[in-house]
Amino acid sequence: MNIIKIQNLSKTYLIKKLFQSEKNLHALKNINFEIESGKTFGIVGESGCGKSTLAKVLTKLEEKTSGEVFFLEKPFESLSRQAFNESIQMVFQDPYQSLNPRKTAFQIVADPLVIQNKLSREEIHSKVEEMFTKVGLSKDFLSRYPHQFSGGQRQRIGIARALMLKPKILILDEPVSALDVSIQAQVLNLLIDIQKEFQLTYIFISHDLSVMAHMCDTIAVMYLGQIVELGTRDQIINDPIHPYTKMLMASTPDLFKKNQQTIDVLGEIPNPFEITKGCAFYSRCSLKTSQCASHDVFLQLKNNRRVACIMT
Amino acid sequence: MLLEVSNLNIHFPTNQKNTFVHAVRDLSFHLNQGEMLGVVGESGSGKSITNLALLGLLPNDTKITADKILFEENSLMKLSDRSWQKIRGSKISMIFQDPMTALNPFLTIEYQITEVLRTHLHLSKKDSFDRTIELLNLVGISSPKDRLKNYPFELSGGMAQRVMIAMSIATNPKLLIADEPTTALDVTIQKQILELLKSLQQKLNLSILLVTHDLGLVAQYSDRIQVMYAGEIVETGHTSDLITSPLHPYTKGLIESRPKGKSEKAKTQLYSIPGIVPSFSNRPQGCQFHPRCSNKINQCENAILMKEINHNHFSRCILSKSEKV
Repeated sequence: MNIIKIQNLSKTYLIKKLFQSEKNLHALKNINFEIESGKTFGIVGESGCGKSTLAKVLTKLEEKTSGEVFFLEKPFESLSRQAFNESIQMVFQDPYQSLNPRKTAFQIVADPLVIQNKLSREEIHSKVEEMFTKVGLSKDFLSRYPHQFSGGQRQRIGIARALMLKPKILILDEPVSALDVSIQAQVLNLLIDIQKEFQLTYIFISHDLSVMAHMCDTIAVMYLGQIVELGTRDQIINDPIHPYTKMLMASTPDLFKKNQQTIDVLGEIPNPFEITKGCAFYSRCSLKTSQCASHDVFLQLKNNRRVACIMT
Repeated sequence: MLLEVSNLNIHFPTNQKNTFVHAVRDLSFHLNQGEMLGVVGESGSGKSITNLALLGLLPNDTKITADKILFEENSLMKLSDRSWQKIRGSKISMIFQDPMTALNPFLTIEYQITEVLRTHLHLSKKDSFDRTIELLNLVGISSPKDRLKNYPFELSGGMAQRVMIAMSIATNPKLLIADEPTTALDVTIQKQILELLKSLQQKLNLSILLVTHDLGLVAQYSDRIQVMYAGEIVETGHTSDLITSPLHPYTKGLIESRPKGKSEKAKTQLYSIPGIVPSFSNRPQGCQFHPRCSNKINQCENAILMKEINHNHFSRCILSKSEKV
């Protein structure tokens, strides 16, 4: 069953600058996808591709401009704030900035329940203790403040906080990129375990394809506000079609990769205001033709694959 | 040998009187001309502090002791500020992690590069202008003449890092220290910057110290690798030896805990090194890694020295054995 379905989702920011006319920045353009319950949906892309905007729209931290989001076949707008909070929660990238330094670990993790105001103090206390053991923290740490924890432990607190309301969906925005290498594996293992235990659906946002390959069932590759390729983990990792996906694969550092690549990694992400027509990847693409500059491209289903490229 | 460091120890004073934390201990390594040495370590492993020591940028109350720090046969120990200025930026230069904060936001690119040329090489206005154009071409900035009047905020992250590299090689240094040069950049730009560094290494016969936390990066680009943990070097060797047959349990752990990508099924449990890096003030006795190590024995609590296990492949573990007979 699809737990989330997104149709033609767009987000446009109006940019105002002194002495300049107003401009539209298309942060998300016609996003379409659906996520099966209990699976991990990965979103990969470089800075400015819209992956964090998408997370913000899905957590209602930003309003969408147009399009529809369905949660269990009900439109997003029909959910009350409380029902919404009980279905979607988020884990943030930087565990140093996402925890309030003036609250103890207990207060941070208990806050969602305190705000919901449904349980007594004793019940909250026992729930927090239970969650603490589940994410691998000792109960002795409850009265400590965030600065007394290491990065990995802080990220565990962030995960515990997100799980307190028993959400169905967890949005993980670069959950391990701020952590040391030896700690990353610990947190990834924890995420795999709690997904099974709580039957969670993950939306996993990252720039690192090797982490994506490890965690995801389905992967969407984004470039400048659009999904350029969407497919199962095996399709994207073992047999990428879109030239941008291939470029990302070639750029990901690998221990045993030989230094001979057939793909040139060229250029930089262009200024989004300068693209008016045609394929957004045109300026960096090795397969480009004159048609690419004049035709708008959309994600299309061809041979059981969804790719936004007219040359494939 | 361009750089030779032996038994470098760095102590920082703490808030309490006459107490010091031992940040870097018994560090010995060397770097040959034209070689790229990758230094891998997590936060707190002492890799950045070592870089600052090589540039004489540590605070005055830091206690630095070493048997020798030789750069081009000259000692870098106890130099005056004036002699440091002659070396820093002209013979040894550095690229920092975040190009956006390392460049001065108030000055144009032209000013920042020519300043280096005029201070160290005493070039004339015209010569330094020509050399700046040449440098920007060398680091792959297209139409450099139009870029000269740009301020750092007008550049993308990758472009700004190219400008930083142009600045750092402006004086034809012998040694370039790149401290996490691509951590703030996107993966496709990261690849471009590292290929640029690699090509400069070969073109200019430059020695590069590539410092990073990403084992994948150094495995792909550097000639030799040195793994640091809690202020010590735990393993060093040629890239292919170290990656294919790691000796120290920490290096093995680092390699195994990386997601394997293609070659493995999704959502399998990764190997993870238990525990965390010990803090500066709370370092264990003997082997720094033994509290997290699964093979530890009683002798691990005694001081352990680097040992050559295979040819040019050293490990700081008493249990490391050569597999070659």
